[in-house]
This record gives sequence, C-alpha cells and structure tokens, in this order.
Amino acid sequence: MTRVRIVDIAKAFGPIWAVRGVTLEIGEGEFFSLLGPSGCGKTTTLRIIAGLERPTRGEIWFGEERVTAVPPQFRNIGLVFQSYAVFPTMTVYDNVAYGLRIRRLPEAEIRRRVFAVLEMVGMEALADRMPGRISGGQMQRVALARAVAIRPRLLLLDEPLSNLDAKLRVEVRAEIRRLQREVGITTIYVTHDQEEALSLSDRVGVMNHGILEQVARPDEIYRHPATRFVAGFVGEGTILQGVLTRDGDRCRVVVGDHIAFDVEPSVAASPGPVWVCIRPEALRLARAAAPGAPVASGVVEHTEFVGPTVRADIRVPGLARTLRLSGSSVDLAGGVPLGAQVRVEIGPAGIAIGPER
Amino acid sequence: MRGTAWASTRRALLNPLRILEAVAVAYLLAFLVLPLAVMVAESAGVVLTGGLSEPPWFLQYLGELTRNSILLALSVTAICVGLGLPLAIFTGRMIRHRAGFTLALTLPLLAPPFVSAFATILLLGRVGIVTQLLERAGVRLFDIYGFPGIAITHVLHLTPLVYLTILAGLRTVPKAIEESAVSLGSSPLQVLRRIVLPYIASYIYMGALLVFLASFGDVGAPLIVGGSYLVLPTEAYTRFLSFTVDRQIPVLLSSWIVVISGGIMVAVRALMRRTEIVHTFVTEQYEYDVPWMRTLGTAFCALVAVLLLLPYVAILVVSVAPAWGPQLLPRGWTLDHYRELWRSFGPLRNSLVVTAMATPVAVLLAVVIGRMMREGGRRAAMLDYATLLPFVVSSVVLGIGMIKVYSNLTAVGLALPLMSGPGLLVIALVVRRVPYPVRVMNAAYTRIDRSLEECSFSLGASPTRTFASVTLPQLYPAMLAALIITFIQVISELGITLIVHRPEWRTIPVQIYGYATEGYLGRAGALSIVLLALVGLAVMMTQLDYRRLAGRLSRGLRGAAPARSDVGGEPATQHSQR
Amino acid sequence: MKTTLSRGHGHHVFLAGLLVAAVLLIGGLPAGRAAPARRLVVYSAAPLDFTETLKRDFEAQHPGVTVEILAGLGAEAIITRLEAEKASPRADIMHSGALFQYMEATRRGLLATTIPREIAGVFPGTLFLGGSRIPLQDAQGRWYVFGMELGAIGYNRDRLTALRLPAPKTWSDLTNPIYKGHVLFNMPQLSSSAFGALVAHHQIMGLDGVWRFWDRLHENITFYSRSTSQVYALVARGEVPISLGVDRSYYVARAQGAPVELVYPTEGSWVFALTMGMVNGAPNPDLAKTFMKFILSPAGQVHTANQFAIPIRGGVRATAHTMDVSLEAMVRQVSKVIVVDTDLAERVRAEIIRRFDAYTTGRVR
Repeated sequence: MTRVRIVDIAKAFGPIWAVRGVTLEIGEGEFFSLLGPSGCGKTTTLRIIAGLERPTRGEIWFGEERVTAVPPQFRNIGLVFQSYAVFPTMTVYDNVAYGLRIRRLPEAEIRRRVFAVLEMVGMEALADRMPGRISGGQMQRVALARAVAIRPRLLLLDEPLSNLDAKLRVEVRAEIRRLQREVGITTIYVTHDQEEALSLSDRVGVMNHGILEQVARPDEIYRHPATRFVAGFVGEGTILQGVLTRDGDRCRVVVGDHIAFDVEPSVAASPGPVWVCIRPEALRLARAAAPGAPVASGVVEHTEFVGPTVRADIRVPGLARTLRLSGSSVDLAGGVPLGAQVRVEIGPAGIAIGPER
Repeated sequence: MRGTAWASTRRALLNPLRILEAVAVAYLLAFLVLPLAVMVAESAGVVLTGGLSEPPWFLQYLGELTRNSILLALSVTAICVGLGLPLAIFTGRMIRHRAGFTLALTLPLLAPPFVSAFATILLLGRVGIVTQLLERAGVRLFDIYGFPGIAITHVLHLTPLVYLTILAGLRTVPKAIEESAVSLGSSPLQVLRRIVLPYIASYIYMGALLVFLASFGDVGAPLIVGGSYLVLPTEAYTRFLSFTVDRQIPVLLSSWIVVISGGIMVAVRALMRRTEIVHTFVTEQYEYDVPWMRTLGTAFCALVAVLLLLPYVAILVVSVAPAWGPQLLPRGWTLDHYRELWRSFGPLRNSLVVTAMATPVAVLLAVVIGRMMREGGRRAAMLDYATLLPFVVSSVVLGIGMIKVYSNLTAVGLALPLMSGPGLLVIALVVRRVPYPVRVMNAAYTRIDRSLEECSFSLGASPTRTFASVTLPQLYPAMLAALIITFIQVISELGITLIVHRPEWRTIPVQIYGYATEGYLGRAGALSIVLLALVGLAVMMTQLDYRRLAGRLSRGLRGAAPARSDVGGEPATQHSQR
Repeated sequence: MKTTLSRGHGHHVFLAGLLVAAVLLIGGLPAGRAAPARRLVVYSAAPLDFTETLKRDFEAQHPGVTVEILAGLGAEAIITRLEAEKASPRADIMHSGALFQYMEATRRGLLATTIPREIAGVFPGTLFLGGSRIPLQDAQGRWYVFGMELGAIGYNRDRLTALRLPAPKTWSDLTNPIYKGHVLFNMPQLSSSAFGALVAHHQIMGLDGVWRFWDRLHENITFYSRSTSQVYALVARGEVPISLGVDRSYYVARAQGAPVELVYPTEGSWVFALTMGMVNGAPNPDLAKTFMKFILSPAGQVHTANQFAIPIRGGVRATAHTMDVSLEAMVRQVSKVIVVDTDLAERVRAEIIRRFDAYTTGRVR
C-alpha cells in the first residue's frame, strides 16, 4: 500500500522518445489505469516504474522513498505480464512460492500464504500441476497469485488480458478487481482496451505519443474529455468541427453550417471554433421536426444488430462524418431500416466539446 | 486442373517434393546407415562365429581403451561445460562487446583439431614456451604427453562448442520470465540458478553431448600428444593404416565405438526430451545490470579468450620462423614457408572446389530433411537420430565403413560414376557435416508460420508450389547461415578426408597433415593460418545482419524495390513498442 | 518478418539451381577431367613432398605427360590395393617402400618383368656399402632400388646440452640408464621402418641378445609414438632429445634449421632400400619405363639427393640443400651396413609383434 509519485519521467530509445514527460501521483490502494493506443508509451512508463528500464529523465517515489535508481528486485513490486511469464520448469505451487522462498520465509508460512492466495484466485486444486498442463486463463491467475503472494507495495499489470478470449477477459478482469479490493494494493494497469480501463479503475490516465493527455475518474474522462484525442479514443462518438456561441446561459453549437443544437453549460468552453464529439446517447430518433429544433436529417447508411443494442450510421448532408445512433433493440426494432430517411434529435446531453486550436 | 493438397496418388507420388524426400532418405541410408551397419554386422558376425583370431589380451586391451576414452571424454566435458556455461551467461546476459567476444571465443573451433595438438606441444611441451617461462619462475610443469596433453587440447578446442550451444539456448528465454523473477525479489545469481538454468537444461545437455562425442571420437590429439594414453579411435585408425594386414581389430574397435557412442547419444537425447521446453527464439534478451558482475564477466571472458587463442598465436609464430629448436623463441623470422605454399595451389583449389560442391548439397539435404522432421512422428525421430549419427561416430569409423562398402564396388568393376573425380569425397563430406545445417534448418522451421502455407493451399497451390513460393523464402536467411556454417565445417574437415580422398583431390587439411607428418612444421603452420584466414572470413560473414542481407537478396531476385513504411521514413521492419 | 505470397521467379531459379547441382553431385561429376593421352598413375609410399617434387621434375622434363601420384600410403596398403585391382590394374608404377615389401609383391605376381639393361643401363646389380652387398635390382627386372635410407640415431644437440647428457654413439649406448625417459621410438606393429629396424637388431645382436637389449632399452623409452612423424618432429623441437629412426627424416629437420645431429651406430645401420617397380598389366608400360629410367638417371638421382635420400649413383650432389648425402659421404661415415634379411623378417615377425604389443600396451612380461 503505497503512494506512487512520478515526476517528469521521460525515456528515449536512441533518437526516439517513447515517453516525453509524464507526471503523476497515485494514491494508496488506488486502481489506476494507463490507457492509450499501441506505441503511446504506456508500457514503457510501467516498465520504468517497475525498474526494468532506466528513465532518461525524471524521478519516481514510492511513498517517501526515491526509487529511481533502485534495481527491480529491491522495489518490492508485483509484476504480471501479458505473456504470463509463468516459470515452466516449476509447479503452480512452486511458482507462487518462488518470491516467498527468496525472502527466506519458513516453509510453513510459505505454505499458508501460497494456499491462501491460490484460493483467492481459485487455483488451489491445481497446485501440483506443471504450467504445460493448464490453460491460458489459469496461467494468468497463477501469475497474479505469484505477484500478490509476496505482499508487494505496488502491483503492476501490463495488458494481462490481451491473450485471453473475450468472455474469459471479462471474467478474469472482474476477479482482478475483486482481488485488488480485498488486498488493497496500489495497482497500475496498462491497457489499450478502454472498456477495461473505464470499468476497473479508480482513475484513468490517457496517454498519446508519450504524454499524458488527461488524468481523471472514468466518468470524467468519458463525459468531459480534455482533448480531441481523448474524446475520440474513449467511448464512441463522431467528432466534427463546429462553432460555439454563448448567449447568456445558453450555449449553442453549429456544425456543418446549418445544424445547430444546445449543449450543457458545464461542457462549454469559450466561444469560437471547437471540436465537437457527439456520442450515440446524444441522438434520438425524431418524428416531427419543429423549426429551430436541434435535428439532423439523413439516410441510414449502415446498421448493426449487436444483441441488446442496435446501431445505425446516418449520413447527413453537410457533415463530414456519419452520425452514429444507438438504442436498445427493443425500442428501435424496425425503426432504422437501411436506406431509410430519418431524423435525429441531437443533445443537449451526451456531447463533449473542446477548443479547436 | 489444380488439385488441392490431397491430390490423386499418382500425382502425389510424382510430386517433386516427394521425390526430393525420397532422394534425401536414400542418400542417408546409402552413405551413412549402410556403411555403419555393414561394419557393425561384420564385427557381430566375427564375434558370434567365434572367428576372432585376436590376441588373447584383446579383451583386456579393449577394456583399457574404453576406460581411457570414457574418462577422457567425461573430464573434457566437465571442464568445457564448467567454462562454457559462465562464458555464455556473461556474454549472453551481462557484458558489452558481445560480438567481439563471441567471435574470439568461436575461432578455436575453426581449425582442425590436430593443429591444436601441435600448438599444445609448442606451448606446454617439455620445452614449450609456457613451460620454460614457468621454469624460470621456479615452477616445474607436469609432462603433457598422455592424458593432460589430450585433455588440454580438447578443452581448448571444444569449449566453443558448449559455449555456442548454451548461448543459443539463452536466446530462447523470454525476457518476461527473467523480469518476473527479478521483480519477485531474486538477485541476478538466483534468477540464473533457479530460473534460467532449468529453462535451458536441454541445451546444456546438448552441448555436453556434442563435446563428449567429439572428445570420445577424436583421433588427432591422442595421436600427437597422447604418449602412452591409449584411446579407442586412435587405435582403430593406426591399426587400419598399419602395414600389418590385420583388418579385424580396426573394424571391431570401430563397431565398439559406434555401440558406445550410440548408447550415450540415445540416453542423453531421452534426457533432453524430458527437459525440453517448446519455444522459439526471442529477439529481446534480459540484461543484468550489475557493475561488479560486468567487470568480473569481462575479465573472465577476456582471460578465457586469450587462453583459447594462445595456441593460434603459437602456430602463427611457427609459420614465420625457421625451425624452432628448444629455445624460448625462434631465432629469426622468415616468410619462406608462405612462399613455399605459393608454389602448390593444388590443395587450395581442391578445397574450394570440393567445399563448393559439398556445401550446397548438404544444405539442400538439410532443407528437405528439416521439412520432413517438422511433420513429427516416428519418421522425425528416426531422422533425428540419423542426423546425429555423424556426430556419434568419429570420421575415421565412418570413413572405414564407406571404403568397405564402396571401394569393393569399384573393384567388382561396377564403375559407378560417383567413384570418379571427387565424388566419394564430396559424398563423405556431406554425410559427415550434414548435422550442422540440419540443426540450423530445424530451428528455422519452428519459426515458420503454418497459417501462411494453409492460406496457400486454400488458394489452390500444390504442396510443391507452396513450398517453393511460401515456405522457402521464409527460410532464406537460415539457409544463408547454414551455407556459411557448413562451409566452415567442410573446409576444415580432416578425418574422413584422410581415409576417403583420392590423391589428386587432396584438401588443405590433408595437406597440413602431410606437411606436419613429414617434418615441415613451418609450412604446416603457414597453411593452417591460411585456412584460419579463409574460415575467419566466413565467420565474419555470419556476424553480418544476414537477415537483412538475405532480404535484399530475395528482393533482388524478385526485382522489387525495397519497401518503405509511411511513418517517419523508417524501413519496413517492425518494432513492437507497447 | 518479411513474408510474401507474391509470385516471383527468383526463388524458383534458386531452387532449380540447387536441384541441378545436387543431382549432378549426388551422381558424381561426369568422369572427372578428360584423361590426357599421356597419363601415368603411380602408387607411392614416399612422403608428400618427395612425390610432389618428383612429379614436378618429371613433368618438366617430359611435357605433355601428367603424373598422378597416390601418395601417403604404406607399401602394404599399396600391395593390398594392387591385389584388389588385379583384374584391371589402374596403376602403372609402385614406388618407394622397403625391399622386402617388393619381394612380397613379386611373390604375389603384382610386378611386371622388364629388361634391367633397358631401365638401369650399365648399373651393377649390387652395391657394396659398409661391408654388405645391397641388391639394386631384381634379375627379371621386376624391381629397382633408386635410393637408400639408413637407420640411425637422431638427437637434438641443444637439448642434450641443456640436459647435460652426452651424445649416444651406438645402439648399446641407448640402454644407458642416464637416458631414462629421453628416448623415443615408434611401433613396429604399425610402421615398416620400425619393423625393419627390429629385424636389423636381430641381425646385429642375435635372436636372444636382441630381447635382452630391448628389455633394457624399453626402460628408457618415454613412450611409443603411434605417429611415425612424431619420432622426428619431437626431436627437432627438442621435446624428446633422442630417437631411433631413419636418417632421411633427420636430414629434413636439419635442413629446416633444427639443431639435429645423427649418428650411424658402429654396430650397424640397416639399409632401407627405396624400391620401385612396374605394375603387372600397367595401362601405360612405355611411359612407366620412361619414368623408371628417369628416376635412375643423373637428373632423377639428383632429385633423390634433394629429397635427402642417398642416391645409388656415385658423384651425385644435391642441388636443393647443402648437406652431403652422396654415396661417397656414406662410405666415409657409415662403418657397417645391415641388409634386412627378408626370410628372417618373416620368421621373427610374430614374435616382434607379440613382444611389442606387450611393451606398447604397458604390459611387459
């Protein structure tokens, strides 16, 4: 259980800067995710925190201790890799016991702890198996148990679920969160899957090209993305260019020259050119079109039936991109056939905007 | 009509791939298995029918030879592994300048082993340089003629074999494994001992096996520096070439060697299979950043490199000196030996021609055999043993077997074309050295993505077409590496050449041997240096980024322009940077 | 990793090329180079350098002729090979090796008869040296001696000086205990020159005396080298100061600059007669005769001397080095010469092998 403080960490590999100055503070027991696309520097940042890479610049503190130059084996951290990295020449039990044996704990204590943590991940029955005989999901649990058994002050996970199939991913991710809450370790989780990041974390840091674009709670990131990149990367939505005008309490945005709608004041920035992110929840099918209403008309270009929801892409003349409408398949059943002319009402909720530089 | 992979039987039989496979198998059977089988069968026959007219002390003699050979091989193996393991770990995980060290530590493998034996005498003999220096310091060195001389020669010559094998093994350990272990709190030593070593166990066994078999089957060193320490292969060799007509003893000894080596090989392979971890080579390796270990490692590697290279310095000195009597250093210098070499180009030309012929054949065989082994199953296992056989039986034994079978054919009047020209020698060299490219190709085949071939089948291509268009291009870098490695091995081969060659096809190693045995040590040294230079050139080529080289080669063959990616003008290689 | 499904002909060509090469070579190259009309095949027991320079000298004198010399075999191996090829002989000449081996070859009908006057001219049939008569040719011209080597004791004078040991002068000197561990010998079971030495010792010391001598000498032998060449190389280097061998190789070492001396022991040096003969049924009998004539000619005898063997013609000096190995020099230096008695050799062969098997495998009775 430690606070982690990262101050202006940067890392260059030859001429290429993978991380360009990241400053962050993570609280005790917090579950923090680093989210971003491939190549954004999130894994490198994690590896620097772990001590597996030396930063070109910057400092790291665990609590009051400056650990920038401390080798990884002395940082007392737990690591879980995407490839599990389970030791193939040892049984499940020995894998989990490894870190404890290094710490020279008495065998009885080791036994207690190993089985306790194996029970936490539901692997106690397979303690004597060799890694060649267990599935991917089970190996991931072993890796988790092994990392947690040593009671590290920090738990670091690098895309641990990427090698699992979709259903298993959801299961294991819930377990990870449950485990983390139970034990209360400060956790840093790296992923490119925003659903994972949003659903698991106390806070999320979105990275792009080596810098942190925004650090906030998941709902904040979603509703009030700080930059155009964050808006586009997190959640669904159509990003368009528009102009914002303020009229007292009313904030009005115009996109595509003639489509105007209101947005919530909390979202608004200063008047002028803005980027606008219209999320699916901002759109509803409209019947009549009252004049001046925030409505766009267009043709359904593409539909998707995804089980509980139906999605439709609507091509509106004058807009650079299609608007994506999403609704429950019960509500929308039959309402958005391909090629049909539809009217959608926009906002004011479900829209994010930010100044266009 | 284009068939799918499951074409009609006739088409399947005439499939070029099938023909190639049949040829490869026939080759191995005819030139490897048959000679050995004939020899072992004949010995068995002699033993069983009680027709042994051997001297009454034969069994005791055999026992002594066996004991000596095994003791020697075991000791050499232990020392080589003891040296090679830390060397590999240091260069593979800890120190800088690893390309330089790897080159220096690999060089000793390149010269024929008996050359190392002469060098041992020059350095550590009764009037050797080191001996005399030690004497001046008041230390009396032991007499090397016998076990010590052979052991030292073998250790200096064979340590690189273990080193390279374990180094390859280290490259299969995924970085994440070591990083996990380190994060769990273990020190570098603990990680190496508890995690890495068990992981690469099968490679350690393989390296040990190779050294054991090499030492067990070596003829040269015991012949030159063995004194009264008698070992199996040298006795077989000298008795075979002796002027007494007795042929039984050499054949019996050779068969006995085959039996023992075969047994050990089977045992160790079983052990390897139990400790094997299925994996492919990784590109990124963990590096231990511990300063004192780095210093220690560098010092150790430097020391060992100097030791291993010292014999070659001695040979260099011999090559530029007039006769070197029992003084510390020769009196004066001369280039006469090199000038003498200039007059007889024959061996150089012969070596290059014969090597140029044998190398591609061996690599082609390896490509075909590797493909067959990839299928797995019993056939793969048998091919595995068959391609290890040339390691197991010393070249002398193989040569004796081949002569038995194939020279008889000529005498009977069956003028097989392979008997003319360098035919039999090329075949012998291919058979003897085929294990090396086979190992390279095996590793390459494991890296090939099957799904590409499956795509090709689905598009309607035959297995042959798929192999030629899809599989083979992926193998080019490995084939290039195999060509170079095989070249090195073939051009410096002595044992089987001595027995099988025809006089007009004398190769460089045979010539070196001839000079040395006739007392022209200076010329022998000079030619050895020339050989080392040739081989060193080839080794330097392996240090090239041959993947890029092969990539350019194949692009050149295809006539396409090199591809460039869109981002930042970097060439289209991938970094996965996550 | 670059993967491609693109169609290209490059790798097809590559593959095809390899295939063609493979087929050609698995089948063996089509019958080597075109055999020139004048081609001589020689099976020789002489060392590589000897045969190489001989080939060069002969081809220089007879342009258009190619000599193929299969060298480095022992004479016994040559006999075996000639026997195997009896039905269709491939060799023209059997060259070098000891006299008794040529007698064996004669017995087996492997050598062709020739007219001695045609080949050897006015050479006498025997040579007198050191109180012995050395036969130089067979009455039916089946073999001819073209050179000689004499058994000798060779030593490294620098090393002996360093060890403060006196130089040995006779065979019996070698049994002196001061030389313990300082004498090198090879194996009569493996080497025909060693075997010849042993037979000569029988002739010098008698059937019982020889084993009394050798039991004592055995104590001084440091080890029995399985490699004949080491007998000379180690003495040249000074590793072992003394060895028993054949003078020619000591001369080679000395010519290279090694501080090697040799002694022709007064009890007697055995003569190793370098012999040659034409193979029965040789493909090129005329060329073979020319070859043999050449070797016995003054030019050929100079070559013999250049190769440190004693020529059988008088008045021949070597041109390639400064040592005097002429017949006249031998007459001066060698007091007694022993011609190896081939019948005796047959009789004592088994005993020699038996005893030396015991010596060399560490089991002395």
